[in-house]
Amino acid sequence: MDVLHGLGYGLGVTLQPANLLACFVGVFVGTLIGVLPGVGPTATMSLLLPITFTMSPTASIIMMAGIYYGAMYGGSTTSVLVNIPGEAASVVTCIDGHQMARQGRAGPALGISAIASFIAGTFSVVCIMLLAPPLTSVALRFGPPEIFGLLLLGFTMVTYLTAGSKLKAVAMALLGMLLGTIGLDPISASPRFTYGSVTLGDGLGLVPIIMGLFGISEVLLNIGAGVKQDVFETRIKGLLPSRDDWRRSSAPLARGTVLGFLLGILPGMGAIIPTFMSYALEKRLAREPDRFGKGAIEGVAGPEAANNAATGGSMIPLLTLGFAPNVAMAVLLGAFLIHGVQPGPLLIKEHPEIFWGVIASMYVGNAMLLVLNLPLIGLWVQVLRVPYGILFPLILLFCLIGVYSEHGNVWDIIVMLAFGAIGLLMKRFGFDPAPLVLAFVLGRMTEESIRQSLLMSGGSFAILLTRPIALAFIVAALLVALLPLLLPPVKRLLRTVPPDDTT
Amino acid sequence: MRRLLAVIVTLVALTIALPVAAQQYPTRPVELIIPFATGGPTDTAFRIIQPQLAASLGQPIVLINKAGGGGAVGMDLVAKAKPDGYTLAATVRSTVTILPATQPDVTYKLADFAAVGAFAFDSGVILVKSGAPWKTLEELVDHMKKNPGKVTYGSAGLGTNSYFNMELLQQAYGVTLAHVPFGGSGPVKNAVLGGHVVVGAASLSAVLSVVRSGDILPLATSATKRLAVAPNVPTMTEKGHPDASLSTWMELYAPGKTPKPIVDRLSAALEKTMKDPAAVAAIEKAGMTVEHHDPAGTLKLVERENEVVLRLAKKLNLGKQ
Repeated sequence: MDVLHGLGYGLGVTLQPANLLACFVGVFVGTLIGVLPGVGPTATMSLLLPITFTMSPTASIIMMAGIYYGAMYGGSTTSVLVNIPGEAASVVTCIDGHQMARQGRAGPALGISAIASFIAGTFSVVCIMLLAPPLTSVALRFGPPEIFGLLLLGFTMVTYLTAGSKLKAVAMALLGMLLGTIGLDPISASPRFTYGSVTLGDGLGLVPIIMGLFGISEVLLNIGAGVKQDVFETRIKGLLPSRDDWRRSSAPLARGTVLGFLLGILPGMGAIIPTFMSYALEKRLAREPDRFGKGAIEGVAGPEAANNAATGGSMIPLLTLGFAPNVAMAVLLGAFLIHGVQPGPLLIKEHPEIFWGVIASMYVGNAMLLVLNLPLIGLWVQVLRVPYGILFPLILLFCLIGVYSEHGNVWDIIVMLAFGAIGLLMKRFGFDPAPLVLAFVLGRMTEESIRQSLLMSGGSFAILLTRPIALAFIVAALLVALLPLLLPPVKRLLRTVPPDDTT
Repeated sequence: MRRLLAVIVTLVALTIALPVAAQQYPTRPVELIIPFATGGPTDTAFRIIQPQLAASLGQPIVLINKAGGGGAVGMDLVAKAKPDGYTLAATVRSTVTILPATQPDVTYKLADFAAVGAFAFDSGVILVKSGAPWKTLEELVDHMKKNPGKVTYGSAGLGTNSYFNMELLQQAYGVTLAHVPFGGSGPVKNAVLGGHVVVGAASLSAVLSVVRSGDILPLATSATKRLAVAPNVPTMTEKGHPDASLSTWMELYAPGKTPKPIVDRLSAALEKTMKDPAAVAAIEKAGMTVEHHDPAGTLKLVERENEVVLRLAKKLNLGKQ
């Protein structure tokens, strides 16, 4: 079955009323939980899993996928308007998105988020359709040494995540890495810093940390500072970005899309790391990096494109290999298995209606989301326009429910509240939480991949240098890390040479 | 003195009342604690049988996910729960055998639970990439013998069935391998497909799709007899190594002191559920094999496996800090 024929067939499947409804319910619920802080797509998909028992397999997968990519749209709304990430992958959008809102430019910030999401989302569906099999074989070549190289490159980006002091950013990154070592050692499974607690064996959860550092701390900060609800006092108008906005955002949007999509395919990346990477990349490439953190639209367009493209990318290993590259995809895999469908190389042959139906539904779903998030943005804004006196307790409540629903564990709530207090102190003293979160995510994976690499090679570091993809990443990481140190002396040398010649 | 008398009278009354209560059991919804997050294979298996099990019991079944500590948090909760049959553990066997044996922080043990029954298993499987020079386990073992300590194998992680199966295999054949732990059967499958490790040990449900497509060649399973989904693949038992045959068994446990009548009532409900063709078909579709065991039969299997696990854990010095 060729691609166009397949897509036509898939559209036929999607446009059946039951499937169309499932798609709409999925993206609507996705947007809603995206807007609500704390409640993330993984927890929601898990909670709704039992409902899919009574649905057809195609409709359930369409709905589940819709929740996942729908959440990526909604998450940015809360980030922009209240500086609290609506879900974990929208953390970076807070940095410049909220600054734009403070400058009365909430409209363009929300507009570019929705448009970037739509473009990236649609692009990634086209890629899934055309490139799924070849990309899978590339993803398979990413073994532990290649992952290590990639993560090393990720670490060089950490200091670009803050507009403030570089030293403070490094300090936060180190703290994040340390926090990541809590729990069972990923290789020998021996407990580290668990103090005899079984619960700590799993380590600290990412969602409680993010919701604490960004959500709870922001609420506490606002209560303490008696912030006025100024963002909402002016009507949000002019959703469409200006010509200047477009000029600034188009390249970051394109780069964010490609970056997010490629990273999304790789195991363990999820939708969060691509947003950090995209933000750091844009700041690195920008002519005026100082504008970042002060309302640069590039800092919204890039990451928002990246997280949507990543959700599409992460569908590839699931559909073609039956392998879930992140937790949300693991839940989606569960939805497949509950219906007795094995995603993998044979999915397209055994269940063409699911494979093509889901792909076609993602086109339809992205179009629905654009409508839900541009003309109807006012609806979501209304949710957040509730007076702070009511909104903040509600946000706290949603954070509590969201964090608890992930594992059903009270411990996660304690972690979130503790990090809320830590985050408040950090913000008060000018420490950015973003480097901490990125290092927390990267640290554990880096340790695991380097130790796996060394086990593969019998202890020889040569494995990192003899595999071309790994080597390329490591060289790139070294260049990125050392260039700022090497360039000034080189430039100075170059500048001093010509005068010497003339004398 | 009067207080002591009151206590005695109450206790006597309770012991008389208990069988009566058990006859009526269950009179309210039964909670099944799943010690893992939603979406995983254990969660899937119990969600599949939830409606039929509830119908057989005549009371709703509430599934509660209490993840943490690799399953230890939820299991600890059930070990300490009131033994009244209303709080049960819906879990896999390794949480009562391997987990306490390998994790020093886990304080419960097998004796803290009463086995209600086993109903299905996800077989372990030893696999290589298709096109690899070995077509049988013997050929692979031969290669391992010629390259001691050089052949790499990927497992789903230390303390998983896949790891124990491979360690037991090494002992059985007198070979040494280089172990690379991955965080689950899915990553193992990728590592084998990508050629990052030579051998993989994983659970069948996770690799079934690539086994069917012919991308991966299974060399042996940990099932007791050949599987309907993979009839050409020999079992480790056939090869003369029944100990190196750990599978992911889906089992139901009650707190240790739960009265026998309640355990029997639950066991009868589970047995009836597993006679429902719809439940059986749904479980087998998910890549698992249905095989029901009553409380005594389950306990026998678990205790035997626990001996193997404890012996190996001691030998490998696992679980000691």
